[in-house]
Amino acid sequence: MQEVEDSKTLICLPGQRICLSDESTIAGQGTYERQGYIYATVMGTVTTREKDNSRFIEVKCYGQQTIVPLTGDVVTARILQVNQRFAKCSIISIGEHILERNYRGLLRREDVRATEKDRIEMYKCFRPGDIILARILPQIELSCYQLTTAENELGVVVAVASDAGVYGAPMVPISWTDMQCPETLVKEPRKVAKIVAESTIKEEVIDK
Amino acid sequence: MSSEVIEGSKNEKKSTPIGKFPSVNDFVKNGLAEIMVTTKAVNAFPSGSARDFYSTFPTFEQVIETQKDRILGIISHVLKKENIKGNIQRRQPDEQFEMILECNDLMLERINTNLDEISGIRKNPETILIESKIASNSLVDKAGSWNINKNGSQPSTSSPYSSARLLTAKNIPRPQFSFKVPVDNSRLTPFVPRIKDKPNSLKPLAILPEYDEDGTVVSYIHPYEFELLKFEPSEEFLKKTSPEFPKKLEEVGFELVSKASKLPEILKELKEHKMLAIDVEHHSYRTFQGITCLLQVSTPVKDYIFDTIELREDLHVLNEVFTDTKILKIFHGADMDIEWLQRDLSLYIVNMFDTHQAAKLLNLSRLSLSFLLKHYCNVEADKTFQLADWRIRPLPEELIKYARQDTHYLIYMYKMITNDLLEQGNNKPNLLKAVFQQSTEVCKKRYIKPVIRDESHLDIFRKSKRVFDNRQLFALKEIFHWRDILARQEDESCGYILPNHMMLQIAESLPREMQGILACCNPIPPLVRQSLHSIHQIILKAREQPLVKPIVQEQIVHRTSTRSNEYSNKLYCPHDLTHCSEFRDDLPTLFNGKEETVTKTSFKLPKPALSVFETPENSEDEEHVKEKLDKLSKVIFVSPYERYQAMIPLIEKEKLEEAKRLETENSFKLLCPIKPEPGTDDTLTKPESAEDDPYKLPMKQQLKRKRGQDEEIPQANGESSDQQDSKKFKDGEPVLQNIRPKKKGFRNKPNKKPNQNSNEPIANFDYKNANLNMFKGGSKKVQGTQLKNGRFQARSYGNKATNKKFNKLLNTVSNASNKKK
Repeated sequence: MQEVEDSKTLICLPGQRICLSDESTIAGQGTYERQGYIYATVMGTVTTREKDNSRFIEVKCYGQQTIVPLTGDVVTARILQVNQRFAKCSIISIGEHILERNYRGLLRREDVRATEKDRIEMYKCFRPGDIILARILPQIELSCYQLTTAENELGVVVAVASDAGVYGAPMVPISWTDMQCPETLVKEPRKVAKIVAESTIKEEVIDK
Repeated sequence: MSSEVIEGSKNEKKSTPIGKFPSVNDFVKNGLAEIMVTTKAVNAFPSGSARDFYSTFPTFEQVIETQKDRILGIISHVLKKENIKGNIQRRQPDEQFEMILECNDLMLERINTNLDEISGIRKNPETILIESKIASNSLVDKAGSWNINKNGSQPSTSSPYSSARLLTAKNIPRPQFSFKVPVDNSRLTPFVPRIKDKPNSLKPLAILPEYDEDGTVVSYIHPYEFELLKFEPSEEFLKKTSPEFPKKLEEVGFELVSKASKLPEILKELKEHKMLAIDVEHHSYRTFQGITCLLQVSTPVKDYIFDTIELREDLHVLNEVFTDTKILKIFHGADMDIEWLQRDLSLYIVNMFDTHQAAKLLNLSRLSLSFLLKHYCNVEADKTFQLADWRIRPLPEELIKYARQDTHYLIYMYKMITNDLLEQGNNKPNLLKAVFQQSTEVCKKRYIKPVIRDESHLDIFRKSKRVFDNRQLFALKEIFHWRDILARQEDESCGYILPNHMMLQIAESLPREMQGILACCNPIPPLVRQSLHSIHQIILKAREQPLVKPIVQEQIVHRTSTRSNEYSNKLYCPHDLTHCSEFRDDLPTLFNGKEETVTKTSFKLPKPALSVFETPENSEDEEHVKEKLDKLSKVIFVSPYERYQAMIPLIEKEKLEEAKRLETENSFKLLCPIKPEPGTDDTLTKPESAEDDPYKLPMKQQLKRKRGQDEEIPQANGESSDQQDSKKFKDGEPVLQNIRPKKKGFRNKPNKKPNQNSNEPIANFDYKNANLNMFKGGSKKVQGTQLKNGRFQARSYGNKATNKKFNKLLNTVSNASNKKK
């Protein structure tokens, strides 16, 4: 949490020696360590992050994103397709990083929630177009990330009632398993994520 | 009696596989002796009235019955093998006798036909039919075995260069059977020349063996080696001649020689001529080593065709002419002919002229006989019978004509070629001598039996250009050797037993099933079908081999690029840092060296003074857009992840609470609750309670009372829902308040005042109020606690008087709160 961005902007080229590496200086993304020095692997700007009393040297290059979902990451994904066994989705962002290119994700029926796994009905949990929060599971297939929403805080975040059309207002959660459209008052089943309401955070921001 | 017949049939049944006996004769002798014994035994049986008497004894009957059963059982086995229908054990004695007779007839008939076939007496009607057709020249495509194209009736005129025709007949008797000396196909013994006398010899006949290092006989030397070494072509053959164009085939004499008695006469005729043209026809498909089928000899005045199958043992008399240095023998492409003549007829050639070698020296565009015939004699040769089956007897007219043509023009051609050679050699006989030299070298060739080595199969494999793994190679090798052994044993060519391409196909696919082996072959060779099992065993054995990846032979291509060499060099290892000098920390780095900080400079693009598409600056549209943009900029986007992040501290706290609750619950369960310290929390809680709704008072009182005893209880009750949690941490973090969005007012829950004073003491009582709502739909645990509370309440309200003791216990706290109310 305590990250301090260096104010200086250094530009480096691949292979350029950045600094000496020691116990408190760690080679981060876009760098490698060789013979006691940290070198850059890509062209970009050098950033140093202070974390846990050590310095992370990173080279960030623009136009190319190197972030990849890792096991345990919380990702935001859009449901593309739902069937009885699984839901296909595209991962939009990993943590706070918005991806330039989406990754494919697969949310299997047994990973939807932690309890009563055998009674899960996929159509009552997700619908195509929903935005969900999910956690990455250990990767089994190369082409696809396995996701899980088996936590209270994970599940559908944004959803529009199916009969409200594309421009319908997002539904409001009314319970663990239901969301309601503010305009048509239609209730629809979803696996709702228990997270802080958007409005509260906004209020907070405005207050500041 | 019938038992005799039984023995007889037994004997015949066994005669197909001879069993342990060395020869058929031994077997027959043994069989006869056995039959004698049985006949005696049968005769010893009582017959007539004596038998009737014997049969009155039940033990005799019993013995007879069991023996009868046994014998009938044996007979029924034999009958089954001969495909005779009916069960002999259930028939009447008359019928039984008939069945045995039938069986015997069948077997005898089969033996007869087999004997006939071997001795060549048996004439297949089909063969005759086919041959008569050739004779009448009606090449109608009736019989399936005739592979002849449509215009085959006039082949020499209409299509001289048509593709070769395969002229064969069904059921041609195998000439090998009639050979007086059987063919020795074994791979261990080398070919032994069978020449008995040596005419025109400079050295007496001696067939000397040649040994290898181990002392085994490898081969025998050429009987005429010395004569060939000494041979010099006489002057008369090195001169220019004026050739006469030969007469037509019909105008010269022709003789088909198939009787040994004619030979001395013919020999005399041949001796009169200075030049002989010779050619050989050969068959190699249905025999392992090959059979010389025809020998054509032409003199300028007569054509002879010798039936070398019939005269196999007699034709060696021709050596008198063939090895005569004064008589020139003209061949075309004699390389193979020389070997064949040696092998089958013990004929050797001295003083030979090979037109093929001559054509090579003359640099003719093509070297084939048909080309030479066209070139020198202007004769269109019909070569379509080249692949004909020359074993057909009697020889069809077409084949005779073809065979004569081969040698008929050869003498004339030779003369033309000698003239050409002399011309090219500037009238000096150098070239001509060279041809004689080469031809003599050809004559020195010796026949060597086809041998097979361990790696012989690799030749086929390399030619096929396939990549095999070790299993496939193993199968190929085994099948190859199996084929070789079978070919030698059956005296068939390898191609007849299993053609190469089928063999490669089988070895490549390694079919698991027997059907798969047959699927690799089309048409299926008869011997493959017969010995399918052994092939299958080979393949199964091959499949058991441990699999080793095939080594793909690297193509040796010289690459010129040096770069690739550099990288492929094993000494090129960029990550080997051992050679680097010791660690230095004074190298220039980006951070401590020249630090180049890029200052952000913002360029302002100059605005053009004039613009063609200039629009009035304060147009309504623009303002509208601006408004919208302003609105948009005011919209704050909160990503789902941010909302999730905001939730994390809550979760953590919830966990803490959970842990606490569990603790308190445990302590609550203790029989002796911990005594509260007197008057600790009362003062703090009082001001808060004033704020609460009046109708919830009793509850609070209750809890307060409890708290007096045990401080932790209220908290434990309050845990049950998230709503509660959020409120609980309100003071700590303002965010918590609205975990669930309730802006639209769908929820009817009482809103808490957002701006609660964080300095206020613990707001435990508030949560209890909320609890009531939650209990209604809450979990069972929570319900349980509620019930308890309810009971407490009821007591405190209704039974105040009765439960004095209880009240006394809780007096201090309750009194205090009541007073406040």
